[in-house]
Amino acid sequence: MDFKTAAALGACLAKDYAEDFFELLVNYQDLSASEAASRLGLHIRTAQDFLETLASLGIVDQQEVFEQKRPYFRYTLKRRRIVLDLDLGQVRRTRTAGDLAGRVREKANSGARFSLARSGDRIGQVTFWTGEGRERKEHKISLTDPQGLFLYHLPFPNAEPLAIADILHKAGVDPKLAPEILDIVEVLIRRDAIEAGPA
Amino acid sequence: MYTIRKLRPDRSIGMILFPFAAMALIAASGALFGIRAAYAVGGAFFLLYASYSFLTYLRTGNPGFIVVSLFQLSASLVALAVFADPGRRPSRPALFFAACMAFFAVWMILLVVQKRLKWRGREVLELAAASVEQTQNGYTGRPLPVGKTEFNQRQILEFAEFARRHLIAATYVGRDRVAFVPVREGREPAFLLGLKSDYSGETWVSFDFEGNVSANVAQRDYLEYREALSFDKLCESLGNLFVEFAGMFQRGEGVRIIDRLDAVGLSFLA
Repeated sequence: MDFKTAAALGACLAKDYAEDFFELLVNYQDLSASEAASRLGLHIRTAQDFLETLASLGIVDQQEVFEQKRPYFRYTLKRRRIVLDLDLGQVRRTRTAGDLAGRVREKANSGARFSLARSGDRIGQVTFWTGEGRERKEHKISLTDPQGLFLYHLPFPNAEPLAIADILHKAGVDPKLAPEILDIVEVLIRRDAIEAGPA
Repeated sequence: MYTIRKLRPDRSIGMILFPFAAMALIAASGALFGIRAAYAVGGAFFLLYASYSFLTYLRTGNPGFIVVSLFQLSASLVALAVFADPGRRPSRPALFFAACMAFFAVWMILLVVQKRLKWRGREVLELAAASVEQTQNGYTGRPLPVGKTEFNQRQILEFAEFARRHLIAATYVGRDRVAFVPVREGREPAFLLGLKSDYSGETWVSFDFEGNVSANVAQRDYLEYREALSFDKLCESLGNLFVEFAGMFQRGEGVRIIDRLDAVGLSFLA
């Protein structure tokens, strides 16, 4: 199951009327959105959305019915067991050794503020400001300890850029934690607080 | 020999503002309420100043400030003695306190000329910048990890006491580190009165008890330099200067630290 499907299913199950809805679907041979809505005291649009989402997830079968009135859908439960199986490995970013060879340093006049952690031996958070005048907003990124140590050892704006692997070594950060370091480096490059030098 | 300074000349008037304000207050009270009121205000002012000088002694451990405090206390007692007995001829207590005041004044002037009462922040900043080249502005608010030393906690604390006593830096002793904040003349009241509980926005060098040394130069101090100096080199140089000072102190060469600061050649008023 991919993340979007799992999110849609999770959102369905989180509805406060979900259990009652599934009780109807289990016990009725089939039912329409208006029947479910009247039975559960919901707006017909709410019931319709819920059933359509279940149909898109393959949990119910959707059949168009033609009677004297205009056509409508009836829904039948296809399976009684729902399994939410999500492999989080799929959102893990793949990193190569080349990523750690990238040379970085702080960008001059970036406008970002690096605040020291209370311990004084690492950066605790980075603050950015966006917009002008009344639209000006502050964004703070709180850092993990390895990220804080890494940024504490980041070369200054006019200093020679260093390879990420070298900075990790200098900061005494375990290279196994490289994914979270690379993540913050990417964010700070996007925010123009760090600049990438030649590899 | 003419030395090229890297810092702008000190044109701040903070140092003379307080005495001038006090003199104006004394003169105004004299004009408005008579000469006795002027003596009373002068006595109160000097008493306040004596308390401040004694607080400086307590905070730094520099015995020179006891002399300053005694001079100010004598001056206060002279004024209060004249206030209490405003005859045409000075009373005996007034004469005694005036003699004390003259004695302590001479002693205090000697200490001032010898720079024993001078906060050495400018000298420290000059020495840190001595070997640093001009470059593009590379300022950042981040501190620079300078390196690792072999000093243990006791040695760092002893050096902190030395730096405090000789007004090389205000010190912040934490659970796992000591931060040294070089204070320029005229900026010390905030540190002495405890108004600077957080030193992170200042220029500082910290030694943690595992030997790691970090340095930071405040933007305000960086802008005091005439040229945009290489910022990482400046922080590194500042950190190394304190490491060198700590090493000299451990070898019992504390006097050489003072000699190096004196060799910068700044006036005792700067």
